[in-house]
Order: sequence, then C-alpha cells, then structure tokens
Amino acid sequence: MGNQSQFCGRTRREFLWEMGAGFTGVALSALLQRDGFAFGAPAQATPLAARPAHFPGKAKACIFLFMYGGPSQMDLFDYKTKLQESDGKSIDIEIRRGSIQKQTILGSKRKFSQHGQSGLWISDALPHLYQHADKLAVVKSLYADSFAHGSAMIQMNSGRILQGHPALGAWMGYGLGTRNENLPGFVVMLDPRGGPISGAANWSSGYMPAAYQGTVFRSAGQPILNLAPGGGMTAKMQREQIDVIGQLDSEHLADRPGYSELQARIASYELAFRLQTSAPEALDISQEDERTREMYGLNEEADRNVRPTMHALSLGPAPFGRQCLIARRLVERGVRFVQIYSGGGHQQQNWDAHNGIEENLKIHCPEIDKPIAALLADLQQRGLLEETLVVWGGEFGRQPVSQGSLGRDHNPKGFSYWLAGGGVKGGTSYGETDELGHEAVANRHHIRDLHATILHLMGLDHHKLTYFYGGLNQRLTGVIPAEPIRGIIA
Amino acid sequence: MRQLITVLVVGVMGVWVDSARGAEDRAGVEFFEMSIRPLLAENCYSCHGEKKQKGELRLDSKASIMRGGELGVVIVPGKPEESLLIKAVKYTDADLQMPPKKKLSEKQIGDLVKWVGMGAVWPGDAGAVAISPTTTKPAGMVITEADRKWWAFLPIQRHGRDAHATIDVFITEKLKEKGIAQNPSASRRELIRRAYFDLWGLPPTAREVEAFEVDQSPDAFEKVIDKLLASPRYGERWGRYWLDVVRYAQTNGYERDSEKPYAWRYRDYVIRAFNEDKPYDQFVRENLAGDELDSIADKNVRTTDDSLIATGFYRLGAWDDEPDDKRAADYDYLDDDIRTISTAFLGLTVGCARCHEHKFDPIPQADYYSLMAFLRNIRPHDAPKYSSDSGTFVPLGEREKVKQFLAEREAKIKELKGQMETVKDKEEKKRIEGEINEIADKKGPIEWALAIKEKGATPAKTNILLRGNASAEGPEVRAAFLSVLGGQLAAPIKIQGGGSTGLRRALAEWLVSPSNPLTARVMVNRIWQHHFGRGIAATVDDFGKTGLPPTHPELLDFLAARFMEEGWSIKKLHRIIMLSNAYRMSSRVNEKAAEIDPDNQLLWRQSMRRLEAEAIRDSVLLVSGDLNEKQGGRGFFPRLSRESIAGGSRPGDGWELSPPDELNRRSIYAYVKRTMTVPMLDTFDTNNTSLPSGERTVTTVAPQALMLMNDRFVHERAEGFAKRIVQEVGDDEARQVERAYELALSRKPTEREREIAMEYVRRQASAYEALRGRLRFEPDVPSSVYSGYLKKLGAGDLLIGPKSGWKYARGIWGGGYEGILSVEPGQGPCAVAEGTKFLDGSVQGKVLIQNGCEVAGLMARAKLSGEEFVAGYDLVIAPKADSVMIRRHEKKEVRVLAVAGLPIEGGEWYGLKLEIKGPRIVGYVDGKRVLVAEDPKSLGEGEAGVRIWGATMTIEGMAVWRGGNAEPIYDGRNFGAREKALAAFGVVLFNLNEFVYVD
Repeated sequence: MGNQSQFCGRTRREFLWEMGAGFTGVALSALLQRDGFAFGAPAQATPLAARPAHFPGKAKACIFLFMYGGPSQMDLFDYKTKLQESDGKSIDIEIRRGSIQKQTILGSKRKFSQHGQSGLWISDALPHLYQHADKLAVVKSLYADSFAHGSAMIQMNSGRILQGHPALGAWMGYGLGTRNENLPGFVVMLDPRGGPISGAANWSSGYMPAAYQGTVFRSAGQPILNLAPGGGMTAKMQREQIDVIGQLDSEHLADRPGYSELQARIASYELAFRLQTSAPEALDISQEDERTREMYGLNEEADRNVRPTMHALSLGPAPFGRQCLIARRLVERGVRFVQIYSGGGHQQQNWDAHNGIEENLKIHCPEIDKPIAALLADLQQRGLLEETLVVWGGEFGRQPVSQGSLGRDHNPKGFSYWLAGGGVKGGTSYGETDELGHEAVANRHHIRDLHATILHLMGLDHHKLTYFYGGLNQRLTGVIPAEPIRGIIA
Repeated sequence: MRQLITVLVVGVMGVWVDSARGAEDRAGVEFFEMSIRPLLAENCYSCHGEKKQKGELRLDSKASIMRGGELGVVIVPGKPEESLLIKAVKYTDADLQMPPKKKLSEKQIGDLVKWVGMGAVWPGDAGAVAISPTTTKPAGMVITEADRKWWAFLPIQRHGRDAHATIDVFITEKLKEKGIAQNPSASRRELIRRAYFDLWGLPPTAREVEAFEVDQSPDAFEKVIDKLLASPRYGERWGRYWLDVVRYAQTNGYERDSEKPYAWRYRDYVIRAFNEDKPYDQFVRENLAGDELDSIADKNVRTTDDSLIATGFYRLGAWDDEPDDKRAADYDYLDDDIRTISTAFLGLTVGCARCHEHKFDPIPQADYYSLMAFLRNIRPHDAPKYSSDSGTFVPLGEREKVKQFLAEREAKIKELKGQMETVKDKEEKKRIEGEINEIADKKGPIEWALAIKEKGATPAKTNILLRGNASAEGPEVRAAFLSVLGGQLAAPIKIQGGGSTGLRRALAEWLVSPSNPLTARVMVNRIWQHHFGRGIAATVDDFGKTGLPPTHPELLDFLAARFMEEGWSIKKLHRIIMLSNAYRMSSRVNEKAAEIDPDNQLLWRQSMRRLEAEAIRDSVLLVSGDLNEKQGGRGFFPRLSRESIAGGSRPGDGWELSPPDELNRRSIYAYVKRTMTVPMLDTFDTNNTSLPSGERTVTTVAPQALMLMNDRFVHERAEGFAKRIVQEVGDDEARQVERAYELALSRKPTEREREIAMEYVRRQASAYEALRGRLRFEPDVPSSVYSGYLKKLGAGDLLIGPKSGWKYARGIWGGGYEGILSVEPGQGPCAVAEGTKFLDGSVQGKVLIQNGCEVAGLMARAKLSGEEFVAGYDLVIAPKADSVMIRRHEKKEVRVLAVAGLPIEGGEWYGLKLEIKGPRIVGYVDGKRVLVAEDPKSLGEGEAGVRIWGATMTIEGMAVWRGGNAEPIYDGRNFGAREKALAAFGVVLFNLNEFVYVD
C-alpha cells in the first residue's frame, strides 16, 4: 500500500475477471509453449508460473517446522538464571489477556550449556542440535496477539487472528510461483496423531485461488489424493484414458478456435500424468542409503519393547525423521514451501504442556531432535542449506510460572523462534525477554516481522507482495508497519 | 484484534475539518488527525489518558497536554528541542524514556518533532469526545461534488422502454461505434444447454434438446425458460451464488469449529426465496430486519418464521468462541457483518473505513461507525441455548403457543429452583437438579432458528474507534446513512412489541428505497454476471473506485430501473436477460471482432464458461442417474479421504457419515464446515467460507484432472452410469456409446467419436479382463481417528476394497488419549472373502505394496464375529522390519510363530502362499518355503482373507486351495469387464471439456 502508483488495483481486478471470463487468446500461446502448468487465463494470471523475486533472495525454498501447541522457550533456548533462582517464588503475572494473577515461578529443570563458536545457549532437551549452534539464529523476543491456540495458530500461519486469510505458503506460491511444475508448491505434512487445531484453515489460500493452498502430503503410499488411477485401472490404462480424453477434446477444440483455456485444460491432463510419477518418486525414501536413514532416526521405531526409556506417548524420531527426509527431497526437487507439524491432537500429544512441562519435553524433544539435526547436516552436505531456509517454532511460547504444579500455560508475550540456512546469520542470539523469560523486552518483534523476515530471505518485499481483495491491497503482514528482523540476516 | 495502525499513505486522503475552527491551519489539523492523535492514542493513552494519569500527565486533550505533569510542561509549541515530550520519546535521557517498553519508530518520532515544530496544532479544546451526538456525524473527510458524481452514486436513470429490444439496443450501439459485428445466435442445442446450466446447473436430456430443436413456435425458448424457472432445481442453483456472498457456513471456525445449529435453515430459506421469486426488496428487509417487520403502520408487513430465519444472515460468519480479547473480538464480529452488508447489498468496501477514512472512496471513518450503530444493539453471538433468553436462537411457529410453552417451562424451572433452595436432603437436591437439566435449555417440541435479537428498544451507544482500536473511543456517532448519499440520520421505524430499536428496519428501507442508487444496480449486476460470465460492472462486489466501471452503464441502469418496476422480481429479470439477442449469441470467437475487442468487453459474443464445482458434481450425479433430489435439512457429509480427516486435531470430529443415497444429493446440501473442506468442491474453486464474495476465480490445475479421473466419487457415478446404459439399451455396443453421449452431452456422437469411443471401450474391456484376478486394498482412514467418528464408521469404511463377497473387521484401535484412537498396525482392519472356509488347505496370491506400507499379507482360518476379528493365522510382510512372518491371532493377542528376514521394496511383487495342515503352518515366498511353524493350540477352521495397513496393497491371482481344488477369488461385484470399460468411458465423458464448459 506504500506506493500510490501501484495501488489502483486495476490490474488485479482485471486479472480476476479475466480468470472468470477465462479468455484472452494472445497471452496464452506463449504459456502453452511452455507445456507446463497451464491455466485458462493470461500468463500473468497463471497461478503457479515461476515469477521473479523482488530482489535476489538467498533462499529458494523454505522448510517450516511447526511445533504445534507452543514449545517452551525457557526450557529450550531462552536461558534465564534468574528464573532458576526464583523457582517457587510467587509473582503477579498476566496469564490471559488482561488477567493478572498471583502465580508460582517454575524454574526449568533442563541444563543449559553453550555451543559452537557463537556460544549459543541450548538446553539438554535437544542435545543433537548442539552441533548446529553456529547455524541457528535464535530470535528470543517475538510476541503475538493471542493467548488462545485457535487464533494464534491462524495468526502464525496467515498473519491475522481472524480466519479466512491466505497462509504463508500460499503467499510464497503467489509471489514466486513454482520451481517444479510436477510437484505442488506448498506441501503440508501432519503429525500421525492428528492435525493441528483449526485444521485446514492453517494452510488455506484464503481469498486467493485454491491453487495456492497447501497440499496435505501423505507420508506413505500415494502422497497426493487421487494420484493413483481410479476404478482399478493400471497406469497404462490411465495413459489410454488421458489419450482418449485428449483426442475427443481436440475434436471439440477444433470447432472453438481462440479459446486457449480449453487448450490449457487439455495440457493439465499431461501434467497430471507426470505428477503420477514425480510425486511418488519424491516420497520414495527407499532410495536413501542406510547412513542417511540412520541419521534421521528412521531406524528408531517407537517400540516400547526395544526402547523402554521412551515415554508412552512419544512416537520416537522415526515419523518426524521420515517427514524431514521427505522435506529435503521435496526442496531438492523444487518445492517452494514445506510445512511439517510436530505434534497433533491435544494436550501432551503436542507441545501444549499444561499437564507437565518435563513430561512434554520428554515426549516431543526426542521426536524432533535427531531428525532436525540430520536435516540441517544433510542440507549442508548437499549444498542445499544456503538456499533453503529452515524455520522452527510454534504459535506462541509458555509461561515462566507453573500451571497445576508441573505445567506451563500459553504465552504470546515473549517466545523464541530459530531460523537457519538461506541468508540467515548463524550463531546469533537476538533479542531478549525479561529476566524470567515472560515478556519480550529488548529488540521486540511482532510475528509480522518474522513473516517479513521469511519473505525477505526468499527475495520478497512484504510491502510489495500484495493481493487485491475487498477493496484493499492485502498483505501477509497486514496494515501495521512491519520490518524484517535485520539482526539475524546475514 | 488490534487494528492500530501508524501512518501509511497520505495523498488521496480526505481532509478533516474541525467544525468549530474552520479557519485553523488545515494542513496542521490533517497532520494531527492522521499522524499524531492515533500515535498518542496507541502509544500513550494507556498510561496518560482517561483512566490512568501516570506522572499526573494526561495526553488526550489539548488542555491537559499543554498543562503538563509532575515534571512540568512537556510541550513548547514550535520548539521541539525544548519539549520534554520529544526528549522522552527520543530516549536521550536514560531516566526518561517513553514509551518505556518500546521506542517509537524513527518515523513516529519525526512526526512528533514535526508536529511540535508546527506549533502543536490540536483542533478544538475539548479533547477526544467532543462532538454532540445530537447534531450529525462528526465532521470528517469532505465529500466533493466529484465524489457524488461517481457513476455508482448517481441516481438510476431510466433509459429506453421496450424490454428485450432495449438490452440489445444498448449493446449493438456500442458495437456499431467500434465497427464490430455481433455474433449470430447460438445453435438451438447450445442455447438450451446454456439455459439449463444457467438456471439449474444441470444439463438437459437429449430428448429435451431434440424437442427444443424442432419446436418452431416463436415462444419456444420462453417456454424453456419458464419451465426451468418453475422447478425447485432453480433455487438450488441460484441460492448457492447468494450463499457465497454472505459467507455461509455451518460451523464457527477457529479451534473448536463447533456447529452453528440451524444455520441450514438460512440456506433453505434462500433456496425457497429464489424459488418463490420473493421480491428482492422483501428479501433484503428480511435479511437485515426480519425480526423488525411487525409494522405499526402497515398491517400487511409482518415478521414470519421465514423472516426470522433470514436474520441468520448476521450469524453466518466465523465466530471465535475463545477470543484473546473479548472487547476487540466483539468489534471484529460486528466488522464481519458490516463488511458483508456493504459487500452484499451496496457493492462497496465500507470495511476499509474501520481504522481511517476510506482511501479511495468517499467513505469517511464516521460512516463505518454510523453503519455499525444500526447493528450495535444486536445481542452478542452465544453458544447454542434454547430458551427465550437466548439472543442467537429463536423459536419458530405460532408465536403465542411458543411463548406459552417457553413461559410455562421457565416458570417450572423457577419453581424447581425455588424448591431446591428449601430442600436440605442431598439426594433430593440431586433429583431436582436432574429434573431441571431434563427440561432446561432443551429444544423441546418447538423448532428453532439461528437468528438475532436486540438488547432492547434503546440504541446502544456507538463511538468511533480511533484507528479502529477497541480501547480508544472517539466521538459518539448515531445510525446514519452513507455521507455520499446524503448522510441523513436514520429515523428508527417503530415496530410492535418494541423489543428492538427498529434501526435495522430503517437501514433495510433505505436500501430498498427507489432512490437508493446501489441496491438494485448491485443485484442486477450479480444476476447478469451469472448469465454472461462477467458483470456489466466486472467487479461485482466493488462499485467504488478500485473496481471497474460498467462497460454499459445505461444498460445497467435500464435493468436496475426495470427490476424495481417489476416488483424486484428476479425471475422476471432472468427472462428479460435470457430473451435478449445478446444472451442468445453464439460464444464462438470471431477473429476480426477479437482483434478490436479481445476481452469481449462490448459483448459481441457470449462467453464460454467453466461450470462451477457444484454444477460439475451435480451434473455427474444427474447423468449417472444417481442424483437424489431430496431437499433441505441439515445436509449431508461428503465422504472425505483420509488426509482430509487427518487434518483435524481430533481427526474426524465434527464430521459424520451419511448414508449412501444422501451422498448423492446436490452439492448445495453438502455440510459446510469451516476447517474441513471437501476436496471435490475445493479443487474446482469453491468460495472461501469466511469472507463474502460474489465472484469465484476459475483456475485450471492438474489436481482437477486427477480429481475427475480418479476420485472414488466419480468412479462410483460412472458405474451407475454404465449400469443405467446397459439397463436402457442392452448389450449393443454402438447403442451404448450413443446413449452415453446422449446422457452426458445431450447429443449423439459423430461418426468419428463413435469409432474412437467403441475402440476405447473394447480396449479397456480386454484390459479389465486381464485384471480380473486383481484386487486392491487401501486404508480409508488415517491411523489416528477421533473415537466419536470411528464409532460412526462401519468396518467396511476403514478399508477401500471390494465390497460384495467380502466381510470386514475393524481391527484393534488403542490409545484413547483425548478421545483419539490409534490403530495397532499389525492388528488393524482386515477383510475376509466369504465362502472360503477351510481347515486344511492354502491361500495364495501375488502381492504388490506401496512404499510406506506397514504390514500386508494373507490370512487363513480367519474368524469374524460381526465386525470383530476373533482369530486366525496370517502370513505378512513387514517392510519396516524387512521381514516376513507367520503370526497367530486370537482375540487381542498376537504371536509371531515364525519369522525370516526378507528385504521388502515398494513396487515389487511378492508371491505369498500360506499353507496349513493340522497344526503345521508353512509360508512360501515366490514359491520357496521360507517359514515353517507348528501351533500346538491350533485354531479351528476359518476363512481366507487379507491384512493391510499403511498404504495400498494390490493382490493378483488370489486363490484358495482346498480339497485339491483351486478357487480363484475375484472382486465379488456383479460387474464384468465390459461394464467396467463402459464406466471407464463414462469417466472419459465426465472429463471432457464439453462436459465442464458451457458454450
């Protein structure tokens, strides 16, 4: 909205009704020559066509590791000696918006130590991550707008606490298009225990076309819905089916010259056929060597007979590891945005540690620790880390005081995220919460700044990335001024 | 939500004028209002405002800011460098840093410096709440003559007289000017198909097309239109468009996404309204003020059940039942209604003026709040509650009776509560409590609607919120109409009973008054859009400056005027439009015309249009003969694939399982859940259920092709289609193909098409013949499912596989944490082939698994009790362990009898054979004996079957050997290769451009 001359919205409106009326013959021939994702509208209206970034961004792809439920900053990255010293003392603290209550401080039981040349503090809940300390930029001073999961999840994903707006991955697809037309641009992988609260609203394309929404990837079998031939057909029969559709469609087309959207639709069947090969291939981790499988923790199934030390609710590293490995394969193949949810369902099934912070860490940290360490190492050894942005965090953080006797409640007033890879200044500890880790105080950043940062690292200017809806050039970061967090950008 | 915004753009902004001091420095005032007041409100008022005055300093009025605080004067006008306020915000003094939590941005500090430098202009002396609500709206942006002359705000002009002729006159005039020739009429077949899809969203039968083709009477097309308009299918088509505009859904969204009970009544009301041709002005009245119709002045205008249901309009939006900030959330809720009203009826983006003056249209911020004032008295949305004190759920039916029932019930409750207080005995107390719970808040014998109620007859106070900030109240405003259209204060319309203000009624009457230039134009334009693929003004929801102006403004006015004259009849409007030559034109592209007007702005042709998601799905149902035309009610739950179910935090919670025939109802009756979308509809661009929208985008993407080629729904319909054809025309291949064309495309195939089709069907038939012995099994639910949903599913719903001739068992589901059950992969759902019982014998088959498969194999001596698996042996491959095993199952206990290592690869075939003789069990892989086991507690006889979890397993040549005979096991359906091939051709037809596009 900052630039008046860009804000007539005219182009966007024309774009919309042209997609609706679906016809302009001129621009389309060029599109069809590409023999790629084809759409019934002019080239600029092709939802997933690759588009230039606003400026050269270091990262070409992003893997967002979403710790659903809200991981505890003061037990993982945000080390506070004062918190430990004050364990058991009582203080007045804001627990829900505007509700200040007397509560008992709960120190962290975790041991913190410094790692890498940077001396980044990491707790012993994530020991595999130690080796990557110099790759991480930990932002300890984020804040968000909601104490409740529903709206907080939606805000972390779409910038608003209100439902109906496009998710970050949709914005990236809209801003940059695809790098591989044979795969979806925005992939979501869910925890085997269930999805996050608010479900599909978290990867919705909002007011944008459905083509931008996240595709839920199964981590077994056919990754995408309806990828396998239906009706008991074989691949050969599907091929014949596509051929006969094309044949009959071309008869129809011959009588309707000038309707390039018809050609585009014919082309979409070829692409569908290619997807049937490329998508399962991306998922086929049997192609990976044993060392890699071991590294990601795939051999550590949560078999209680074998691993009696594992918490009964823990899945072990294998499921998340498989998803991290698939994520690497996807970005390798050009997928723009991959989001993996750690934690599903409710309470201790995710990072929502009301019923016991120690127990929660014991369940979830072993699930993610080894896989994430493997992902970072793997991306690096393949030279992919420079162009892949890895983001870690949840919808908010947790309170320095106890809930019940062992748990921690929600806290959007101060929490940590870390970023690594493409364009990130590794080994950075940025911003501070107060001495108890409760509220961001130094270098405070609203999560819209986190969004602006992610877009920036991908080569997108959050001011310029706008979509016209409801009389307004909408932005992921909304109308309140936002800025990338410069302190963590290399 | 905090919509507090610092300065964004200046330029097209309106200018605030302080009414008391017209002569004051305008630029200074503007700067103050745009930049400084909001800045102070957002960053300073919480400590230095009305409620708190830290340091005895108050910054919300000129007098107080000039007076200063404990530390003395804070502002020296014209001298920022001497002003304490500036020092504080610059953080130059370590002991005085304001605001203490976060330094203002450089831009904000700069603004303050500039402001003090300019002399610290502060309009008026009375501070923030200065303007008397009795006068008029607070002065804000100035509406200019040019603003009023914007096309959408000008009065509707009556052009021309003769109806059909006139539409064409307006169009041909413009074409002539450009020297473009208008297309000739479409063929009869194209025309009738267009009419059917336009009005019903369903294709005509071949017979209907033929009848129309030969009907030479001059009113042949008129008769078609009348027939279509008279059918209930019409409302089911057009109601859907309206539901998009009002962001209809049946759940609240957010974390719990709980149901809005009775939201469906609104959907049925809309369908009914279209079918009854309810005058649109009445429709508007009912939507906005259906509860305020009992007129004192006019006895004929009355609140009815329908009009109460219509007020559900206000309740359809997303509602956060656990907001972070209750106060802000209440305003967000109102905002959603304001945006929907302004989009739906006015075609304006009034919502843009929530935090500041509208940047492009002449809509001052005060207009937004004046519009809010109409709604401010509506009681807040509450959770389901069925009593007379609910503001969200109201009873229907004969008023007096209902009132009496509720009064009696409430009296009874009161009485019981009274009793409870007097009784001492705990048991007795409990009993009474139980009795209260028994009757309180139950739906009772009456019907309820999702609707609204007001707090009373006195309007609630409404204030402008500075920057849209819920805690920064500005001047009070009263209900008033848009400034650009006169801005009059609303006069409430008094209604009988007096339970509400009558303000919404006044709003509705203003909207439908003949002098309102927007309402009729907006609706006429929406109707036109769905007949031509584009509105006369292409941006149907935005008639403001960011929208596109009409290509034919006079035509739009003509139709709008005509619409009102004809009693706001939508059906008459359809007739007028559809009987025009313009509507009946061919959609073919004329190269010459396309050169001059490539986008067909001047309407030299009709537009070829892709069918909407609903019309595609409904057409498939109709032509397959499977369509269930049941109307109304809560709706059905389309069967969702496992990844859709897996997306919920309690996978499947809030979703139900509808019986098979319900699944074949029209798409408008599909249950709309905000956090669980239906891929079949979603993929083809259905609306965003959380925001109002009158236009859908049309995209063409590969997942649509996958959906239409491979989705189970499509294949099931194609089977119905094939059965229907065989039933109708028998075995003649040529006739079958012909009939398929007639059904799907309302025409006979050409010679060439017939050849292609017959050749295809033959080839597929032999391919299917070769696959006769092939079976496929696949999990149909995720590995973790909410127990409530799992309970609703039958065992046969857990696995995709052949159904007839097979029995399914649920398998073992454990866990139960937070109500979520997880499958025990090795003991999950399984299937047995009926009639394959043996004690000694073997079962064999070649097995192909996909990557990610957890367990797959064959079972023998399997026993089921109902849907429960009781006992049996299996020979399974376990890809994760790279092994093959023989296992013994009895009840929940499973024992590995023998195991051997075997590298397992997805995509490879494994020949498995499980042989049992007495206690001796032998497992073969690819003909080699790899496992031998003895079971001293040998299980009794049972049937053969399969076990699978994780991903798809294909079995070829499954057979049972008993008594020396091999018995092949097929997919038990009475559906041969020929029929399958015909069904495959049905799928081909459903995928054709001709099927999904309308000429």
